[in-house]
Amino acid sequence: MRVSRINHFFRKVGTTQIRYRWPILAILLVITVICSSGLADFALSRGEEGWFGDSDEITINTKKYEQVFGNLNGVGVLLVKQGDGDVFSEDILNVIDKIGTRLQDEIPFANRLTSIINVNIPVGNEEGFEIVKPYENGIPSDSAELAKARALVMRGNEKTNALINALVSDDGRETWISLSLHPFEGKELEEKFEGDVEEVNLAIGYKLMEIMESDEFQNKDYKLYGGGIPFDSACEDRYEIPEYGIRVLCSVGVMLLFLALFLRNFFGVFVPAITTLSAIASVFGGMALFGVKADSTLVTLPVVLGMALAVGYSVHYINMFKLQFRRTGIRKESAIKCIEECGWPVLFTVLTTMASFISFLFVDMKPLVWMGKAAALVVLAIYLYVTILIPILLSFGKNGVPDTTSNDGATKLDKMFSAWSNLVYKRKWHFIVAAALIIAAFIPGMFKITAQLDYLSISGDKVPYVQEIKKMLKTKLGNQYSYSIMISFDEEGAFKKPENMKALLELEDYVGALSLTKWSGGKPRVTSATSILKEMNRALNEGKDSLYTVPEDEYVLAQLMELSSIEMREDFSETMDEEFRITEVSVDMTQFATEEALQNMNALKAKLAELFPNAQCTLLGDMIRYSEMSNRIVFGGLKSFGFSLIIIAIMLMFAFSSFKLGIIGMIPNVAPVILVGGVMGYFDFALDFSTVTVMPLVLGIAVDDTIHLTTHLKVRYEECGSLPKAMEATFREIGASMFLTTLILCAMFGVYLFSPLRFLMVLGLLIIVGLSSALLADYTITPALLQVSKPYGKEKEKA
Amino acid sequence: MKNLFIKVLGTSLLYAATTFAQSANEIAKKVHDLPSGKTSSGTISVTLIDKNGKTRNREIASYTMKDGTTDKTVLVFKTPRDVAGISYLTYDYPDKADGSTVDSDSWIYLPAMKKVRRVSGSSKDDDFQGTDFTYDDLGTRSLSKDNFAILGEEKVNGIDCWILEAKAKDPKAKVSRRVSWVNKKTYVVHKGEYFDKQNRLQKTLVAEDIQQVNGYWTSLKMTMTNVQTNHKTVYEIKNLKYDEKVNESYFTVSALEREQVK
Repeated sequence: MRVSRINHFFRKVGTTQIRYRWPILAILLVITVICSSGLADFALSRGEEGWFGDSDEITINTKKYEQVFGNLNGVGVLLVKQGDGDVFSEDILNVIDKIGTRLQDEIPFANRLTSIINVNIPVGNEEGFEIVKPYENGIPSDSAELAKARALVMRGNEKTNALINALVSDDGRETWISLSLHPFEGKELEEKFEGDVEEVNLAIGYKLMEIMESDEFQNKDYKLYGGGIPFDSACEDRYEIPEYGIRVLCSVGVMLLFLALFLRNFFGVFVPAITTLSAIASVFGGMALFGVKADSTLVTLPVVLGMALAVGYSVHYINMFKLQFRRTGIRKESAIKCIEECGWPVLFTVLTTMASFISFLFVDMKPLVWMGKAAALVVLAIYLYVTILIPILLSFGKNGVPDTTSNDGATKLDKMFSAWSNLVYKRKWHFIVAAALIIAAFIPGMFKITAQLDYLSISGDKVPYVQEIKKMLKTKLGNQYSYSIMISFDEEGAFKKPENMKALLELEDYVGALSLTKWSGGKPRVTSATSILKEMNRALNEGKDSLYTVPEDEYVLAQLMELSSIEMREDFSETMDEEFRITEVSVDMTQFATEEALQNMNALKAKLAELFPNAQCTLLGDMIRYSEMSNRIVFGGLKSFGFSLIIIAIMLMFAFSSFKLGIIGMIPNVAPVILVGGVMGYFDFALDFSTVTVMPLVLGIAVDDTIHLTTHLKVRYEECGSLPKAMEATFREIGASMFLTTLILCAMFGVYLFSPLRFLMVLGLLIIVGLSSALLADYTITPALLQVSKPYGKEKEKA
Repeated sequence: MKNLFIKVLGTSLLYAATTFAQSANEIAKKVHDLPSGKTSSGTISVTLIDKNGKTRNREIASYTMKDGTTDKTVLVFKTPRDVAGISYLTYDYPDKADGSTVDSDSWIYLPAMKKVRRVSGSSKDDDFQGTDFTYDDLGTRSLSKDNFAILGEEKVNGIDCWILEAKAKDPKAKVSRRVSWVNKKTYVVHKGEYFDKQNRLQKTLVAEDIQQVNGYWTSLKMTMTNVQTNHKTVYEIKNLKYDEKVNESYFTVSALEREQVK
C-alpha cells in the first residue's frame, strides 16, 4: 500500500472539507448540541453492584438468595466504648436504643433491627422456657436492674452464648446495632428512587452517615463505625467522586497549560480545548441519551485519555500546519496539506487505540466493558472533531509571508532530532543490544504480578473513610468482608435429618478453621441456624449448658426445628427456609487477600461437595464477588491484552502491506508493556480494576508514535529512496511532535500521581512508565530495527 | 395467647343500634367487645405461602372455653407429621382496670421430649405460630393502646363499612397504624391495612366467608399478606362449633402431658 496514494486521498478530503467549511461547521454544531443535551441525564454507577451483569451467575444466585432470605445486604453501626466501663451503662444503652430507633425509622427499606436492646434470648429454667428481651420494659436506671440485664445478655461464655463475640464483645465494650433490609423492589423503589437500586444504596448509606454524624451521637465516651455495602457506596460517593472531579479539572489545567506553552497563541489553546470538550461531551451525552451509566471508578480514564489524545492529535495537525505555513505562507493550502500529511497516520493511530479499548469488551465485567466502549467512542469522537475542526478553523485568516530563514521550515529542536537519527543509524546495534538486555531484565518481573481487589489496600491510607475502616478492623467485632453459603436440597425437610444437620455442624467447624475466617476472642464469626437450635434445646432442657447442642435424635430434631420456626420465626427464618430444605451459613472475614481468598474458596467448595453431595451449594457475598472479580480481572486482562496485541499487529501488517514491517512495528510497542509488567511485578503493584487497563492502553497509545514514524519514513523513503535520509527527514519533521504528544500524555496522566487514592497514583505512574518507555523505544529500537531489517527493500537513492 | 375464636373473629348480635352517629372510640369498643360463645371447637388450617407461591400447611385442633373472666385455649398441631402432637395451653386474663394488660400463662407440650414446659415471653406483637398474623391481629388488642379516628366510610363488597383508624400510642410499636373496614351493622372487620414504624404499608388483611355460626358472626377465612416480603398466610376455620360442651379437663397441664387432647 503506497502511503502517497492514501495521502492523495486525504488531500481530496481536505480540499472538500475546506471548500464546504461553513456547512460542515454547522452540521457538527447541531450534532454536538443534540448529543450534549444528554448530559442532563448523565449518571454514575457506584459500588460493586455494577460489576456483574443481570445474566451473570453471581447476580442470578444473589436473586435466588433474596427470594428465600431477603436482602443480602444490610447496614450496621458498631459502637465501641471509650475510656472505662462497658456498653451496659444506662447512658450507652440509651444511645444504642436511640440509634436503633433512628435506623428503623429513617433508613429506607428498613426491615429488622438487631441490638442488645431488642434481641430475643431463649432462657430455660426448671419450669420451662421463655423468650426474653432483656430491656423489654425499658432501660432501667437502677444499677441492680442494669446488672441483671447485663448478666442475661452476657450469660455463660462465648462457647455457650451465641451473642458473645458476635453481637457484643466478651469484654462488653463493643456492640453492633444492625439493620436488615427488605429487598429493593416494589412501590417504594419505583416512587422514591425511580427504580434505581444504586440510588437506594446511596440513600441508605447517606442516611446512616447522617444518623451517625448527628449532634446527639457526638460523644467522647463512645465511637461509632458504619458498616455495610450501602455505607461503603456512600463513602465512595462522598470521598472518591469529588476526587475524580479534581483529577479531571487538574487534567484540563495541564492540557491548557501545555497548549499555551507549545502553541503559544490564544487560537492554539482555544481551538483544541473546545474541540476536546465538545467531543467528550458529545460521547458522554450520547451514551446518557441511551441510558448508559458511567462507572464511577473508571470514569476519569476516558476523559483524561480523550483530552490527552486530543491535544496530541491537535499538536500533530497544528505543527504540520505551521510547518507548511512557514514554507508557503498560504493558509488554506497549508490546512489542506496538514490533512493530507496527518489524516492517514492519525486515523490509523485512532484505529489501533480504539482496538485496544474494544479489547475490554472481552473482559466479563461491566465497568471495564463500559470503560472500553466509552474510551473507544471518545477516541473516535476526538479524531472526528480534531480532523474536522482544526484544519477548518486554521484555514480562517490571512495568508502570511514564507519563512526564508529556514528552507525546510524546521526549528532548532527539529534539527536536533534529525541529528539524533544519524546517531541511531551509526550505533544501531548498540541500541538493539541495550534494549534487548533491558527487556530481558524486566521479563522475570512480569511473572511476579499478582491480583489484588481489596479496596482498602488499593485505595491506600490517605482517604479518611479508609482510615476509619482500618481502625474498625482493629476492634474485636469490627468487620468489613463477609460471605454466605447457601445450601439447598430439593427434598422438603432435608435439614430435619440428623445426618444433614451433622454435616452442617461439621461445615461450621471447617469454615471456622479456614485461614481468612475472622475470629472474635476464641470464636470464629460463623453464624447459622444451629445457634438457635442449640439455644432452644438448652432452653427446653432446664437451661443446662451441657445441652447447648443440636439434638441427634431425628424426632426431637424435627420438633425442635418446627418449634424454632414457630417461636423464633423472625430469627430462624434468617437462616432456614420454611420448608427446612435451604439454609444459610454466614461467615465474616478478617481481611481480603485475593490469592488466599481463592484458596479458601476452592477448599470450601471441595468440602461442600464432600459434605452435601445431594445439595446445591452456592457461595455469595462480598468475598465471593471480589474473588470472582480478581479471577476475571486476571483472565480478562490477559484476554484483553492478547486481543489488542493481535489486532494491532494485523493492522500494522495490513497498513504497511508487510508482515515484516508489522512485526518490527510491534517490537518497540511490546517492549514498554514488558517494562510496565516488570515494574508491576518488582514493585508489587498488583493487577486491579484500574491497573488492568494499563497494558492494553499503553499498547494502544504507544503504537501511535510507531505508526507516525513508519508512515512518515515510508513517504520520505518513497520520495528519496535512501533510508538514512528518509529517517533524518522523518525525525526532523515529526520527532518533536512525538516528544510533545508523549510529554502531554504523561503530564496529563501525571495528575494522578498526586491523588490520595493509591490506585489512581499507581495508574498514573504505570501509564507514564509505559508511554515514556514507548517513546524512548521509538527513538531508538524502532529506527535501529528499521535500519537493520530494511523493510522497504533495497535502497535506490533518487537524485 | 388469646382465645382465637372469641376474640379474633368477632361476632355481633347487637347491630341494631347503629342508626345514630358513633364516635371512633365507640366503634372500636364495639368491635373489641363483640360477643362470642362460651366454648368453641374447630380445626384451624394455616397455609403459609411464600413469595414464590410455595405453600406449606399446618392443621391445628382448637378448643376454647370461658372460665369466669379467664379465656382458656388448647391448640394441638395435627399436621405436618413432625409437629403433630405439639400442644399449647393458654390462659388469658382480662385487662386491668387501668387498661394495662395482664401476662397470660402458657404451656407447651413436645411429644418428642415427652415434656410440658411453661412458655412465657411471647408479646402480643409477635407472630402467631410463625404466621403473618400477630397475636394482636388475631386477638383483641387493649383499647388503651391506641388512639382511634374515623377516616371515612366505604363499601366493601357492597357492604357499608366505617374506615376506622387505630394509631398506636407507643412510638416504638412495630405496627404504628391499623386501618380497618368495619361492617356498620355487625362490627365485623372485613378488611384491614397495617402500617410499619415508617408508616409504610406492611400488611393487608382480607376477611372472607363471613357467616353466622350458631348466631355468632365469624370470619371463617382470613388472608394476611405482608406486602413488604410478599409472604402470605391464609387462616381458615373448619368444623367450627360454638357453645357445645367441651371437656374441661382438656384445659389442664396434665391433659397435655397425657396427650389427652386430640
